[in-house]
Parts: sequence; C-alpha cells; structure tokens
Amino acid sequence: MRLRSAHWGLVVVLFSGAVTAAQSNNEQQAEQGFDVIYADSLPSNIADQAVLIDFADAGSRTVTVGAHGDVLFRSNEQDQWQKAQVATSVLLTSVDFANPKQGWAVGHHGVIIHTSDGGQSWQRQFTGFDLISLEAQFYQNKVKQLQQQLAANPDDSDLSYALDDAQFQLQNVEIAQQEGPSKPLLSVYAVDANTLLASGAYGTLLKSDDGGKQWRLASDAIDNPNGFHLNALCGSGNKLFIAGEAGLVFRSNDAGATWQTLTSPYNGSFFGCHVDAQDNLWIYGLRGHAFRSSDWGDSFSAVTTNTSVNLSGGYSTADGTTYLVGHSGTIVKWRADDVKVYTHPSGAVLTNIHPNPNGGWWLVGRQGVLSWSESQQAAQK
Amino acid sequence: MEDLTTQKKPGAIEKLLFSFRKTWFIIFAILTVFLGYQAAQVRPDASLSKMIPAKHPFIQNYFDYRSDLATLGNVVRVVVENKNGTIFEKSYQQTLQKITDEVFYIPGVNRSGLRSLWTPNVRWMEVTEEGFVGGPVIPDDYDGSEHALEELRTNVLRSGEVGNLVANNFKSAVIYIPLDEINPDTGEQLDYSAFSDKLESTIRDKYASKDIAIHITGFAKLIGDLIEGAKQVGLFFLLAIVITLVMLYWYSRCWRSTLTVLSCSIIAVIWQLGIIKLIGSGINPYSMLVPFLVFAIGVSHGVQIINAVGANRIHGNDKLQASRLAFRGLYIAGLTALASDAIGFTTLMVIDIEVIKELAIAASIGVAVVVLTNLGLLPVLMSYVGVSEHGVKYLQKSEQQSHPLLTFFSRFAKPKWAYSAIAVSLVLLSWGLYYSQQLAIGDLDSGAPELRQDSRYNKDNAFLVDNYSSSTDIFVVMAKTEPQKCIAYQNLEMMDRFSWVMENTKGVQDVKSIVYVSKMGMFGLNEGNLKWFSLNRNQYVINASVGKAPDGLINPECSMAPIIIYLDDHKAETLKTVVAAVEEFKQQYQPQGVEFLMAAGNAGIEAATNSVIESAQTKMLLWVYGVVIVLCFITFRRFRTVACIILPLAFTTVMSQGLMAVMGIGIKVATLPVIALGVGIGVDYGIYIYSRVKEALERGLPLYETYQYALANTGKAVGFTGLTLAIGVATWIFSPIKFQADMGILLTFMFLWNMLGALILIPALARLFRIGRNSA
Repeated sequence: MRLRSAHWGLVVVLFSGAVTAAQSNNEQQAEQGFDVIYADSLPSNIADQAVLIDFADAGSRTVTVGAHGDVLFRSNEQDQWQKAQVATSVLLTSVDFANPKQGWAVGHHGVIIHTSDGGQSWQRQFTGFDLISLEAQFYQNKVKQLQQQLAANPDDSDLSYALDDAQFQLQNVEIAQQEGPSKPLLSVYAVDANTLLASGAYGTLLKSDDGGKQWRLASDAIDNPNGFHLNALCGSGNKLFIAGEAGLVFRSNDAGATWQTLTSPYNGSFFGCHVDAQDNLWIYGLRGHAFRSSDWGDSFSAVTTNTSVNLSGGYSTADGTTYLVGHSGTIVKWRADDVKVYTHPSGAVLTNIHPNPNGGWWLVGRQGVLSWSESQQAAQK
Repeated sequence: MEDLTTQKKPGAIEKLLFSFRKTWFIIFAILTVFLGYQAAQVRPDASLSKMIPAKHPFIQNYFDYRSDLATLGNVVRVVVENKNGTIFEKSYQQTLQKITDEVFYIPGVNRSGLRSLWTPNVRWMEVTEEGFVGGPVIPDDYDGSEHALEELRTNVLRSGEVGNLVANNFKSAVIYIPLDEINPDTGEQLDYSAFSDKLESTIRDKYASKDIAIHITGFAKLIGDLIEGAKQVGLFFLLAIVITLVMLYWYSRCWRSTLTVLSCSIIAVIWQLGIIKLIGSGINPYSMLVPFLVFAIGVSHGVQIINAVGANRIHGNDKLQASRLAFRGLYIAGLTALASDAIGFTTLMVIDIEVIKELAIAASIGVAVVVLTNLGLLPVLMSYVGVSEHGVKYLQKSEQQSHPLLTFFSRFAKPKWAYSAIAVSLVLLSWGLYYSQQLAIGDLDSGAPELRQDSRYNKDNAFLVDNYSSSTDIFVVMAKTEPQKCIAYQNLEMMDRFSWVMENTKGVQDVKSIVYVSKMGMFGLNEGNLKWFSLNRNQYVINASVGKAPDGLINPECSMAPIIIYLDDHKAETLKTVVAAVEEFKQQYQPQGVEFLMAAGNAGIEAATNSVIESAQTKMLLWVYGVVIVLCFITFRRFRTVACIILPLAFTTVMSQGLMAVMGIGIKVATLPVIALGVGIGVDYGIYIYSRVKEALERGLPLYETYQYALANTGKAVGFTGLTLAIGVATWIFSPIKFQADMGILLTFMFLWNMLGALILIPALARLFRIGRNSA
C-alpha cells in the first residue's frame, strides 16, 4: 500500500493537465456528429417503461435512472414521474445523493453526471474520454517509474513482469484512445457532498474529493489484478464496501482513501450491496446467493433466499426487514429467518426496489418502474 | 308518344351494318369462339406486388432488399389453444407435439427455423457461477407427469418465451413457422394457396375440437384466404346473371329479346376476358369487378335497344325496320355514353398501382367491346328474332297507360317541384360535404384489411394480438450501411437513437432491431446483469453480443439492418405520423454512414400506397370530370346542358364520399377507382335522357312536355339500367374479401343515386337554367 500512495502523489501532480487534455478531447468528439455521451437525453412520455436500474432519495423526492440518459423523479405529492433534463444519453446504472440537492449518477461510456437542484437538471462532469486520459497518464507514469526501478535493479523479475503488464495496459489505453470509451461505470456512492466514489467495469475505480469537479483514478487502490468488474458500492459513514465480479468484496474504513480485500463467502459475482439501519452489510448476486455481515464484513452468514435467480438490488426498512429483487420478477422478503418469495406479475428482470408513498413498493428493471404491494399477492414458497 | 327519330335519314354505319347482316353475324360468331377459348385460360392472380405502387420510393427501397427481408415477414403462426385449461396439461402437450410434427412435414416449411415448445431450438438459459447453463424447454425426461409438467412450467418461465411462443395467460402456445419462398429442394416458388389448404386439412380440420382451438395467421394464410374468397366471385357472377334474366323478362315480357340481350352481354364479357388474356394482362381481385360491369353496361344498353325496337314495332314497322330505326335513334347517344365510360376508365391510369391500371385497361376494353356487341351485334340479332307479339302487346299496354312513376318524375320539370328538389339536394349536398371532410385515406380497421373484420383470419389475428405481446402492423425502416458495416458501433448507436425516437412517436408500440439483440447479448454475456443492457464501443464486444442474432436482422452482406417498428394500427394518420417522424429524424441528425430507408412491412407498404392514393385522388377526379365534360360538350354544344348533366354527377360524388366517411370506408386502392367508375357510368343516364330532351326541344316543346317525352321514350330504360347495374355489383357486397364488398356497396350506391339524380335533377336544373323556350 505504501508503494501505491507514492503513485498517487504523481497522479495528483499530473492531474490538472490531464483534465484539460480530456476536456479538449470532449469538444473534438462532439464535433464529429452524434455521440451518445454528449447528446441530450430526449423528452419522453414512455421513459418510465424503458429500462431503469437504480433508485435514490433526494430529500422527499425519489429519483430513478436508466436507459437513454433517462432520469425520472417524483415527490410524494406528484402522481407521475417527471423527466429531468440530462446532458447525456448513455445508459445510467447508478445514482446517489449526498443531500437533497447534490446528486451524482454514473453510466456507460464512463459518464458521470451531476445535479445541484435535487435531480431536475443534470450536467456532465466526466466521460470515458476523461477516463482514458487518466489511464494514459497513469500507465505512462507507471511505465516510466518501473523502467527507472528496473534500471536500478535489472535482475528483479517481479519488476520486469510488472513493467510488461504496465506496458500492455498502456497499449490497451492507446487502443481505447482510438476506439473511444468502452468501460461502463456501474456504481456511484456519495460519502458527502465532496467525497465521491464511482466504480465500474474492468476494475475501474474513481474518486473525487471536491464534489466531482475533479475525478482521479483510484483503481490501483484495490487489489484486483484480474481487473474484475466492481459492480456495486455501498457504505455507512466512512465505512465503504465494493462488491464485485467473482465474489470480490473490498472495504474501506476511511471513506475510500485506502481499501482492504475481505474474505469472500462466495466465488460467484455480486451485483448489489447495501448497509441496513442496524449496520448490517448485505451483499447479493448470482443464483439467489445473498450474505449478511454484522461485523462490517469480517465474517458473513449466508441468507436463505429460496430462489435461484440473480439478485441485483435490495432495500432494508427501519426495522430490518429486507427486500431483495432479481430476475423473473422475483422479490425476496426477509425478516429474521422468515423468508417469503413473491413473483411480480410482469415477470420482469428487476434491479432495485424502493418504498412508495402508498405503503407499497416501486420496482425498477427491464420494464421500467412497476408498482407492487405485498398485500395484493400471495407468497409462493 | 311517337318517336321523333323516325324522321331521321339512315347513316353510313347503319347501312354498313344492316346491309351485310349475315357476314357480320358470322364474323361475330368466329370471334366469340376464338376469344372464348382464350378467356377459358384466364386464371385469377393475387400477386401482392401488383397491388402496391411499384414506382414509389418506399417500394423501390423495399424491392432492393426484398430477398433480405423475406425471412422476416414470411411466417405463419399456428396458435394451439386449450379452451378449458392451461398449456401445462398432458393431453394438451400431446396435441401440441403432434401438430408440431405434422407442420414439420408440410412442404414449404423452413424446418430449421420452425419453433415450438416441442422443437429442440427452443431453450431456456441461465447464468451460473460456471457460466451459461440451459436446456430444451421440454425436459429431456419428459413423461407427462405432474413433476415433468411443473418442470416444463419453470423452463417456460425462464425461457423468455412468454408473450412469444406462449400466451401471456398460458392458455395457448404458438408454433412459429417460417416459410421458404423458394423450395430449396425443387427450386419451385411456394404455392400459397396449396400451403394454406394443407394447413386447413392437416391442422385445423384434424385437431380443432371441443377442447382445442386452432388459430392460424400469417401472410401465406392471408393470400390463401384471398384466393379462396376470390373463387366465390364466380358464384356472384352467376347470381347476377340470374337476377338480371328475371328482371329483363319482367321488363320486356319477351323471352326472345331477354335472351338476346343477355347473350350479347355475356358475349361482351367473353370478349373482354379473351382480349385481356391476349394482351398478356391478368385478372386480379380488383379487376374481377370488370366482367360484372361489362355485363351490366351491356344489359343496360341492350335494354335501350330492345325498348326502341319494341316501340318501333308498335308503330307498325317490321323486325328489320324496327331494328334499323332503333339503331338510328340510339347509336349516337350510345356511342357517346360508352365512349365516356371507356375514356373515364382510362383516367384511372393516373394511379400508379398495377392492379388499378389493369382494372382500367380491362374496363376500357370491356366497354369498347360492348359498343360492338350491344350497339352492333344486338340490333342485327334483333332484326332476325324481333320482339315477340307478347312483348309488343305488353309494351303497347304500358305505353297507353301512363306509368305512375313516369308521372311522378316528370313533375320535376315544373317550377315548384324543380326548386324543391334543388333545395333538398342542397341540404343533402351540405351533409355530404360536411362528412366528406372526415373522409380518411387508407384502411381504417384493424387486422388484415383485405378481409372482413369478422372473417376467421381476422378473428385468429385478433386472438394472437390479444394474447401475445405482438402487433401485426409492422413498419420496417431499412438501415443501409456500407458492406460489413451494419453492426459498426457508430451505426448501431445511430440506429439506437433512431429506435428511441420512434418508440416515442405516437402510435408506435415497440421497436426491434439488431440493436436490441446486441443489448440483450451484452446483458447475457455479463452474467445477466441489466446494468450492461447497452451498446458498447468495442467492436469485438459488439460482434460477440450479436453472435446469436436471429435470421433476417442483418443481411448476409452486412450492409442493411431492418428496424422493425410495431404500430398500434395501420390507419393513415398513424402511418403519416411515423413517416413524418422518420423524415424529421433524418433532417435533425443527418446520419453519416447509415441511411434510414423507408419502408417495408405491411404498414410501410400501406404508407406508400396511401401517399400515391392521396396524390392521385384529386388528379383522377379532375381527369374523369374533364373527360365527361368535354364529351358532353361535344355531343350537346351547350354549357347549360353540360351543367344539367354534370351537376347531378358531382352531387353523387360528394354524397358517396360522405357515405364512405359515415360507413368508415377509407379511400384506398379498392375504392378510388369506384369514384371514377361511378362518374364514367353515371353520365350515361344524363346522356340518354338529355338526348331525348334535345329532340323535343328542337321541336319547340315546352320543358314539361319535353321531359314527359324524354321519360316516355327512355325513362323506363334508364330506371331499368340503374337497377341492372346496381344488381350486377350489389352481389359483391357479400364477398368475403373486404375491399370487394366495399366496392360493391359504393358502386351500388353510386349507380342508384346517379339514376335518381339524373331523373330528378336534370329537369329541375333545366328549369333553373331556363332551358326550353316556353318555360311555364
């Protein structure tokens, strides 16, 4: 970890230059005709029926994000979803608010957008082109540094292996510079209005300490040599977690500055995580696998879900009752050891669940926002 | 009342015709045998490419990619419904399996593409820690037990086939049958009619029971049903002949003249069909109307002839002289009337749709033939057979006692009645004008517009639409790229934007294309994580994501990807909105590298047809009215006279448009020609009546007496003509083919209304225009 902090020093020094380069790159791209990154999200009356992925609360408002850069919001008084103005059209995969006004959403092509009016209008803060520039800087520096170290210790085979790897990564970045950004961001988490984290495909981790004005690459802060996808971020206070592909689980005790790898209870992928009001960590993913930890991830216990479908999203109420949702309209209700499984009549792929003002639930997923209430439906198992 | 034509001198044509009666008779006989032989070889032809405007850019684009699009559209769906339960029952599954097996062996079925719960290509799939797992939906150890059925239910749910192969309510399942247009073994073209029959005999007849219902939809079935329906038209023709026979006898009370008129009219039909065959044209479901019209026009002109022959017999002329006088009195009016018919029909050629052109040619030929048979042959024949004593007596009797209807109609030459009639007409006209504003272009009903709403096909179709997640109104936009670029990232991204814009267009239900396949592929390749439901910039990733693309979503050269837009309906307004949205998108985004070409699919073709119809509508009306006005002017040389004849016609046109709007019949391929036919034939009444009016006016009679004279000489014949024409086409109202029924309704209305219009409004307008010297 000490070695890595040294990297960060360099990266931070070079950072402002990288951002300038990236922004000029943005404008250049924008002139080349249609690009989904820069195209404003279109007005739509059917956005609530298109793919939607995630929920967040902005004060009394509920916000949901999804395909075509769609962001929808609705307060308790409103009887329908309202579409926000959004300066991108990529598939948005995650949304989080630091307070009722300040929120961030991330999505494909490395896009990060920001709102400061509680979700009504969203501006781009970052794109995959910026990410490529950051990566280019990062690997160029890394190559340079390793070359220097190798010159000092020519016989160190670890160093030479690391150099090969860094050079290979740099080549990939150069290809990406030609091709454009292909790595989606998959999750965003706001510790507070300044400290933000965004995780994504192929081990991408971004951090900002100034509310997203500047983002820096933090992928190297976690031990993920295979570059597995970092599917979900969650946390409570300064404690943060990343749940990812192939059973990866990481924890940070210092709001994302440093990370440690946790012992995973499962080798299949996790798609979601959350921390409930009793400070239990929930992680869930492939084939109905879900785990719960009451000691901040030091140990996990398997949760009986009575389902074998993928679970992607969850919500815990104040009393600790937890709902997990997934494929084929599956809704798992967990209360102590009483587990009930429901199937939403739509049978849709569900990605998340959120309470609605009528005492029921909103679900998002393949078919947009759906309503559901427990009382309407009998449990199957 | 004495016929005034007797004082005329015989003309050259009359001399030519009557001096060589035997020669003419032989020539006609030989021609009839020859053309009859030709006519016997005419086969109905339901080629869809003729029913669409081939020169329209949409259709040109469609033709460019026709073979690439064939796999998309040419599909038959057989829905097997369990009337008393769900599909998860042993006996139901047995039936479904048997039907799937039967379908497999029907010639024309693309066997590898055949999909049903019982074909091995229908699988469920799931992501596990080790990657994808899956299997056929029917468990390998299926034995019909409760356990196996439960497993089947689970597999169906995770197969993603609910709404596609399995109904949303689990009460029915689909057998999806793609067809080979060209049989790969024999190289033969698929015989739609035979295929459709085979489905009926091996599937529906065999398996439909009190428990199982079979619903069949698809283009091939539709064509099969159309051809089946067209065959019934033959029966209608026989019916029309029988009714006409009865009416002719009732009118003439003379078997000789009845049969002569009927024979001449049938000969006209035979000639018309024979000539069509000779010039290499065919008969289609639209031009099937023509023999009916030719027959009816033939009869109506024949009636004028025998009416005149009979009248001349009363006045003491022998058979020959009576016929000659009849010819002399009628041939100018007859020629004018028929010429206006024929030329009126040719104006249909301005509509650039092959079936209408064929109809125009067939109808023009038919009318030209009627000139020969019923103005030429008929008088010659009548000079031999004559009108029987019985017929002459009947005519004499009816002439002596003024017919109450005759008295009734002649009143319209008097001021009070004339002005009342005009006032009533103006009220009706404003009704017609009001409703004709609501007249829509195109087909207005759901389902296959060719067939009736309550036809079995449309009921089956409605069943499919109600129980499955699919619309049958499809508008296809072809995304054209350079070869090998159809799935290039930038192009896909533009197609995705286009799809989203279209999805947000009013009337659009859903949009599917290779873009959707790529997104689904990304979703599947990434462990079923919906966060990946997006296009990716990496071309290798895209290539992998579309690895399992179904046939037809990209062409073999990868230079075109159809974007399939599912619509709520195929109403003209919906289609217009969609076309406008596509144009606007192209304007706004100026796509580079990918070109969005309209249009294929039933709705795309209909959009093209509508635009052709819409632009042809006014043009055609101008032409047909222009032609009849010129012809009337040549005959009568007076503007006021022309106005007297044309205004009732225009009145009828407006009224029929109002009627169409009220009845929910749109202006379409079938109904646009009807307006021209109505005007072309409708003008006959006016010409016949007015030529008599003119004779009387030349003798200086006042208007009322003039009109009485005209009615006495031709009124009965005009009334009879209207009835025969109406009966000829009215049988079509019962056709199982919707557009034929629409044509039948409209033509019947127009023929009757034109007749009344002529009988009532000509004298009324003549009064209004102060025609006749002693107008009192």
